[in-house]
Amino acid sequence: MARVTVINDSPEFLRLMRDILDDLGHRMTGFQAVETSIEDVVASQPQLLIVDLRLQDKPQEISGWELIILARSHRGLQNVPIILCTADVWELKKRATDLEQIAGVHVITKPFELDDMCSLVQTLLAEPGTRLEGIS
Amino acid sequence: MSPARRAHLQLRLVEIAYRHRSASMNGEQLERLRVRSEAILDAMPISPDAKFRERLRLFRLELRPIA
Repeated sequence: MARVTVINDSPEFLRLMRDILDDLGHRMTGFQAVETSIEDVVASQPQLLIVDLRLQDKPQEISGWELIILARSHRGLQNVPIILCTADVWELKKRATDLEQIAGVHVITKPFELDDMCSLVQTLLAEPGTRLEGIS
Repeated sequence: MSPARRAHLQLRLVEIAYRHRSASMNGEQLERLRVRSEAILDAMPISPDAKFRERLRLFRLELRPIA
């Protein structure tokens, strides 16, 4: 069982991801973007992060992109794999060059095939260095 | 995960993705979202559950482009 933290501005998406991750046998911590600080994310001790690219409704709220940059700058999250979800392929294209510079970020565009997300989650959590609870 | 459970989760995924962002998207973005959503729904096996089929039918109506 792994700890997966999901940050998204949609409560429905958070509920759905909890159902999916429960089915995969993992424990999810969910944050709605407006409430989230990087320290909250660190405290959840994630082994995988799932972040939406577009989080903020207001300019003063953190964006998914900013969250990724902060995560890669924080000692507690530097090596945690990140799945970046987005329906905004145009914003993704704008960020393409920047994304290439950041290690460990895997992109999945919405709407995605359930099997693709499940496969990606399981693959990233099975990578060397990811220590799962209950497994010696 | 049973096929019924998988279908239910997949439909929820598509519904949420479409409804959460469609209001803020321009025509091109919305068309991409619509086409992608329909492709995923087209690939789903036919469900024996009549309620699920009805829900799917209603969502497909929602996806239809406005003439």
